[in-house]
Amino acid sequence: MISRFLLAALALMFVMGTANADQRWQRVEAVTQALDDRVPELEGLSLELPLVAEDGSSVALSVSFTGSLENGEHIEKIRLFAPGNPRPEVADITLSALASPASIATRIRLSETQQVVALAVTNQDRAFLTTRDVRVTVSGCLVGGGDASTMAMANPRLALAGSARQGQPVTVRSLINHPMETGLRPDGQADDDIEQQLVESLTVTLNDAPVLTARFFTGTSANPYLQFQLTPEEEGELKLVWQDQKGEQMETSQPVRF
Amino acid sequence: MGNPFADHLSDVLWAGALLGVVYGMIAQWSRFCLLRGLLNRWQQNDSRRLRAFALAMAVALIGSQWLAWQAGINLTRTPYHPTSLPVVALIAGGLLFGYGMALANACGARSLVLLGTGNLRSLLVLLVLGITAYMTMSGVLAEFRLWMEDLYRPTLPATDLTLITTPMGLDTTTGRLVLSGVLSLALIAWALSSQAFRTSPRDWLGGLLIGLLVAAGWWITGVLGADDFDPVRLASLTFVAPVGDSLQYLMLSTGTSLRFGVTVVAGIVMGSLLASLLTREFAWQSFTSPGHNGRAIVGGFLMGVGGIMSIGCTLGQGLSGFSTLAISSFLALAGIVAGSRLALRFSGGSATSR
Repeated sequence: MISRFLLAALALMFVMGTANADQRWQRVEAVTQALDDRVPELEGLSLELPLVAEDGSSVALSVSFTGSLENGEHIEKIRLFAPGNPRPEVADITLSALASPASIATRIRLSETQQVVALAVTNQDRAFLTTRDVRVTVSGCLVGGGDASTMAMANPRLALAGSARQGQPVTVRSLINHPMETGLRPDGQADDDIEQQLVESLTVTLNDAPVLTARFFTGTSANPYLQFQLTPEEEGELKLVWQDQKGEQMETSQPVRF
Repeated sequence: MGNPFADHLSDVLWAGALLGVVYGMIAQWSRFCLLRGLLNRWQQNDSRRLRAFALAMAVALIGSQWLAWQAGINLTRTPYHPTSLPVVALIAGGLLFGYGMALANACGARSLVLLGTGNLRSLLVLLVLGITAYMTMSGVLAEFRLWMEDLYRPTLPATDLTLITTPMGLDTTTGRLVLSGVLSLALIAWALSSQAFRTSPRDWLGGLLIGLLVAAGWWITGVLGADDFDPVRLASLTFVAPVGDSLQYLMLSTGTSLRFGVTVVAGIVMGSLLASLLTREFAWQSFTSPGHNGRAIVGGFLMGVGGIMSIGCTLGQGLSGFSTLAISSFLALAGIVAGSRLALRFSGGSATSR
């Protein structure tokens, strides 16, 4: 009896211990706002980042959902936060069922050693959250921005890794050249001389049906890169449209054939 | 991650290591060294080694510009081309680097070569240099560096020497062609004007090959490392930040990935070790006095700070940066030469012979 009690107490301590270990995200306002009183499950979402980032201005990040979902349920939103940055928002990605299984890779900016937070919400309003500690050796803030003449988007790229098949996920990669000027300088303060210039969004459609929409913030690296999974049900044209803060648009497309 | 496009990375790393080995062997055999060239010229009026450096500059310039034109590499996308030119930091960094190089008796690249021959003095120089480089880049001296850079940084219409040719009505491609032709011809003409240099294959062949290696470095990162989604950062031979990177890699390798500069550094030590063993020149060497030891520490410190402020060392700015016709290279190189001259004047040049 006593031993069973002890075991239960130990198990309880273990559960509380693991729960307590990683609750720094609860003190991040941007994350709690995004959660909007939902209680996130801490299993199911996996976040990959290097343990040590040698260049804080471009840190490879990948987040994917490995848990189980109900029938007809899919991940609808993935949000990334870097609470140690001057502005915690990194990217908000809205996915449709065509962009499943939910698996995103991008490159982010980190100004200092910190815990990166990923949040996923399904279309049935279930939330998943995971965190990852990254040690940053060279602050992303130390890398200067581009000059005003190169602020325009250039050279959009799109590639499918391998051939697409009906109902089978295929990896899609996209990248556009743009300096993603944050308007911030090394001390993390806004500089009046420097205007913020970001690529604001990327919209992906297949035959005009929405696949994915990404909203980029200051935490996304220069030359915003996005990799995702596409599970096409029919052949068609995959179209990507980037839009910058000034409202300029640039697009590229590629046929998807089985 | 089964990344079907990521294979170019390992190619770049292996090619970098090979580049390092070849550089180490040639530099160990030819005694290639800007400092030695300057000191020989100033103290003994023997300019052979300085001419070897000039020839390497000319070959690097022709080779890199030809490669850039052939393979379509944009050499202005290198660190030597900041959009606004931190003039004060470049010159001050060059001066510090030059002074430190004379105190330590070798620049970063030469220290790596010497380490391979059993010179334990250069191990201390390299450790201090690598740590101070990171201190200046991202550590406690980073604020100071940023302050220096912001003192005076005009934004010029061009980041390379086409600044001069564009107002003359030449487009950038023709401008670069003309500039490369004029500069390299002048350097080659000066280098070859000496009978003593022409009859010293150690100098002319060494300079020629090292110039080619600079272009090879651009080829590795610019052609082998080209990738639509994950291009390798353009780089060639340079030895301040990579020494720091190498120390960091040794300490943090489980959490970091290998980079081009680190494999080059490792390759150089291996190449020089190999060459010195083959020629039986390998010999353990150490300090002769505490003063000698102190000079190495101060020299390494000045090179680490100065090398980051001036965006490169004798090779980084003097050969790699110069081969891209960067304005910053001319400022930094002038600073380095002036700095070693000052060291010769105020600190008595090199303490011992090598």
